[in-house]
Amino acid sequence: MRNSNLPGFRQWLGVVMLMCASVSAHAIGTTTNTPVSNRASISYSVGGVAQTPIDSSPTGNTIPGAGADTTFYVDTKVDVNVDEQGAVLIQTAAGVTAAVTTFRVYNNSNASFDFQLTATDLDSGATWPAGNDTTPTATEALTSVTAYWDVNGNGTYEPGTDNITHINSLAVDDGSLSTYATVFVVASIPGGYADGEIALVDLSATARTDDAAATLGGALTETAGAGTLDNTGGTVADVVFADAVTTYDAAARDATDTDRGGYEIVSAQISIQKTVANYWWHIDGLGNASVANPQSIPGAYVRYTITVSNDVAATGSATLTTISDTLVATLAIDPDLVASGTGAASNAAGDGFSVTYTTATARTGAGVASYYTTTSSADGLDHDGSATGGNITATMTTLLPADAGNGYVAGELKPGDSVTIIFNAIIQ
Amino acid sequence: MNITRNIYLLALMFIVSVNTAHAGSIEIKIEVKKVEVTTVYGEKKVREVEAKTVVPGDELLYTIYFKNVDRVPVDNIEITDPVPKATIYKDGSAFGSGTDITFSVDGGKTYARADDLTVTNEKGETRRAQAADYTDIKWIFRPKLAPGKTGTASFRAIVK
Repeated sequence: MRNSNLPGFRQWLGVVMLMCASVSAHAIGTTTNTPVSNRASISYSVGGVAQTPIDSSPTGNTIPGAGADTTFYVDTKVDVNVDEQGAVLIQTAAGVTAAVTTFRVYNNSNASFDFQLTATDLDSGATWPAGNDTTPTATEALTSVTAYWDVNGNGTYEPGTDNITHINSLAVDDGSLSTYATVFVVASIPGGYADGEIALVDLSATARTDDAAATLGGALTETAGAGTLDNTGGTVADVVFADAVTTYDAAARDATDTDRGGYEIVSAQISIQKTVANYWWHIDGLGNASVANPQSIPGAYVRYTITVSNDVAATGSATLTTISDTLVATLAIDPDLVASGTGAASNAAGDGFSVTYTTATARTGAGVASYYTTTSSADGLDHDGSATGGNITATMTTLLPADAGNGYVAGELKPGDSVTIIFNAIIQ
Repeated sequence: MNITRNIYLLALMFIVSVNTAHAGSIEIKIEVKKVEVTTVYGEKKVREVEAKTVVPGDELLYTIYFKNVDRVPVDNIEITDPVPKATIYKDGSAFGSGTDITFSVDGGKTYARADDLTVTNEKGETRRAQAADYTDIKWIFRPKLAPGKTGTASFRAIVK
């Protein structure tokens, strides 16, 4: 076919697509620089007499025993996959300085590489589907966005340890998704964000030369033209960029892949209420008979109720840590949390506290009162032992235990949840 | 002096002829090419090029040329070739005009037609062999090969 009518013909040969293999595109690839050799053998007869077989060679061989391999060397194929972990917006709050989204980077090449990491805060108008949620839209800019490699591979962002902003020497994944580098995109959320606002981020990973050092290796260059015949055992392989277009990566064949994640601003609305009421009095000489309308006189009991709630209209959970309360010196803690009327301990002698939590969603132990010893320091709720007055300390992560099956971490109050602490005090 | 020189030359020829194997009647050559698909103005063009840049997933074309370099016909020609390591034989690609083609799954000990090949695992379960199991290919060239003539046999393989 004559090409003289197409002066620009040669330029259009630029788009080279490699034939797709019949094997899985993710099967482990033969390592770069591997020689692939072939030698055939021919047996034959002349005049009915079998002759000595002859081996082939690349140029043609006629001499038995003098065959030679026809060899080529496998070159370097570069491919990478970035995969956001979790597929849902990370709930965070305005003013958080290290809000973390997590990604995995897979090296789908046939050689190990360093990877350059780029985290980008996306402008308003970017979208990210999160499972079955409606597509959110980025509305504001984040004040800082940085990608960090999870150096010790423990899946948790540790600012002191995970402070390298590229990946060193990532080995090839064989298609089983078991070899990867974890990357954290860490963002600072401006204080002005309102509840429900969303910020999206992209993470790009670009394959770079593995320089076998802590530094990021140099850029890779795709071999132009036909490449080099290196049948003599050359160590410099040709390079082919084989990455394809993906959902958030519009450019194929640039040794780069990109994926997207994001944050949603939520806030808890916590309120604490402490009430005290005259509860009961026990007057010596009257046995344990209760008296109606208990008065605030020495010897009488008052009951304190502390309730911490996360408003049902809040958009996020609160994680409670510690609640402290101080009794005035005119009060003494009732060590037994007596019940009015009987004067007997509500649960057992020495159990001065009860805790009950109610929840809007299922939670193990909800609605059931738990009792805590007045003075033990191991059960999460203590009085400091002062004869009068004294401090009460409640360790909420112990009193509200984790319930992974129902999606609760220790100390968590979801919107609509509340926890109540009850104790008695005796008027001195 | 002439006699000494002639004896010396005779001795030299003797040494040379002892070290030189006798050339056979066939010259056999294997070439490997890479299959390249390009898109030009939206049209796919397929061609074979030198195997310079080859990466996993690429398709290779191996061609065996066997030429009768003798002055008499050659017959009973059989060619065997292992499937190259780091490649997988492309099903149905073996070709050779005038040849009967069989395959081996046991490293060349036995050959059979593709439909008759089976593979047995450690548990003793047998299944039909697939292209990925083939270890060697055999071409039996039925005609005689006349002096000066060249026959060809070929197959394709995918780089792992």
